[in-house]
Amino acid sequence: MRRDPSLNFEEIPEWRLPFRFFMAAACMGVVTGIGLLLGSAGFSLVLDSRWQLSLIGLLHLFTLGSITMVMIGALFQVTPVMTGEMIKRSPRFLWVFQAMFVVGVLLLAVGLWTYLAPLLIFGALAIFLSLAVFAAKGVRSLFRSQATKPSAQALKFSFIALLVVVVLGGTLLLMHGRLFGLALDRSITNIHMIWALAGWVGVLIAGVSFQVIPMFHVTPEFSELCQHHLPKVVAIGLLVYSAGALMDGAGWLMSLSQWGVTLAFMVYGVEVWQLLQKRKRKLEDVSVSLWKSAVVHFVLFVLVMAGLTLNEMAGGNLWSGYWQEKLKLVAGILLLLGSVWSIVLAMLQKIVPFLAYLHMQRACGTDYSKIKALPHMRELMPIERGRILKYLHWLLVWVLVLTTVFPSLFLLSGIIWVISFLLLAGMIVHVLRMLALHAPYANGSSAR
Amino acid sequence: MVQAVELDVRDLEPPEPLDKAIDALHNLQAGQYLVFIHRREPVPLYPMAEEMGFRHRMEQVDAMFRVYFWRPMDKEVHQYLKSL
Repeated sequence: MRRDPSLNFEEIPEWRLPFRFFMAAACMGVVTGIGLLLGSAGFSLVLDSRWQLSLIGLLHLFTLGSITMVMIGALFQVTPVMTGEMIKRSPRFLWVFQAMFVVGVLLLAVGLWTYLAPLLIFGALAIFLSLAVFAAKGVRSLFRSQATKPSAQALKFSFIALLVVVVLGGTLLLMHGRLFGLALDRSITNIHMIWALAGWVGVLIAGVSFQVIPMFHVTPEFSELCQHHLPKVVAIGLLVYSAGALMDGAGWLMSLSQWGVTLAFMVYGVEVWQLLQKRKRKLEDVSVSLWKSAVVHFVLFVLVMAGLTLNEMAGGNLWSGYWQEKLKLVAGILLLLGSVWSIVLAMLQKIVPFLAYLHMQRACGTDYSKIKALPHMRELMPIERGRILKYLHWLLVWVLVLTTVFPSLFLLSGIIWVISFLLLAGMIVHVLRMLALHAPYANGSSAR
Repeated sequence: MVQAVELDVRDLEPPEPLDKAIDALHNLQAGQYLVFIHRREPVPLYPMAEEMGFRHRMEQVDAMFRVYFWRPMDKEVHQYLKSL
């Protein structure tokens, strides 16, 4: 009997594993929102410059505490399915790893905000150790895998990118502490950021989407060109960018590679849009709207970046440095919240109820009457709540964009942020309650 | 008389294909076998079908998976599928 080598459902981990990371991501999102509320109360947070430490603290709370947290949970789930290789872990490792990561992110954020060096150092150290071990485990398991499908290749590259991001993050920490005689070098910050965004987050999202978009949305498959070449183009672009950043007078090389990577993701975005347009069943779907809004926000991000580049080329004559800094913040909001977090929400809308359903169905065994009594996907993830989450999310993106210019909107953006993440947490709790109701005696193992 | 029951789930979103397959397997009568047609190999279905007493055989034609499910104790169907 032949098996589809691209997917291996015999190695699915216990269902609680991804859920604990998804739940933690929602909770950390609430904490980020509280940070924004504190900012509105005058606690030294102003959206003036991307180099402001309190803002960098909040940024890491969101990118690590929410975005990376979801991705780690999803990776534990999808790596064995896509590559046939588990990321090795024991229950004790999971507890220590997650606790260390959560505490590290909180300490780092508070440390950056208050600039209390011990918090900053302990926080960064905890993040460094936890992510380095996770990335090393991921790289090890993926290089044992025989899978050659593009999604597996993309996963491999994103794990390597995570290792690079972690090592550069550790280097930045040493620089901040002026340890070993290292002085702070902003080119390292830029390399750290681009590897995190394009290599770790971007390629991982693309690799997972090569499987989940055709599967969950009943679309044609991604083109061979996109599947095979996107990770390669991004990898080459990142290496060239890094080389350019470390050389003197190679700004043109950095710009060229940065735009090469951006255009590769634009091509990917256009393909996502086209595939979703070719869905066989055109029912209302919150996940599809979120995917499409992610593409729109990415296009807007590219336009803002184009404006920023033009102004730099014109020697800052198009608009002042004040607006240049504001536009950089707008670009960050459009990319991270408008595009990346929209995709994360889109994937969660499908993955969370699907995993729960799969587990409940297996817990029923061959009892047909129990299987028929199971809640449907739309009961597990009610479309009304998804719709509210979607509108709140869009509102949040644009209120936050306006907050860069009108600081009086800080309070409103903080409130919307907290509500939208509380709603997400509530949706996950609803699924967990359904699981407890329909699979009450399960010990957490959904496979076999 | 051996009869094929065809179930084409290529246009359905997960987990509907799995759901429909379990329905079809549950309702399969003596002398019948299920031909399950999907865009992906229904790997999660195999252990469930096995627990329900079914055997399966998979054929892949380009991007389409055709899986036959039958009860091995249904001798007539078993012989018929072996002869295919």
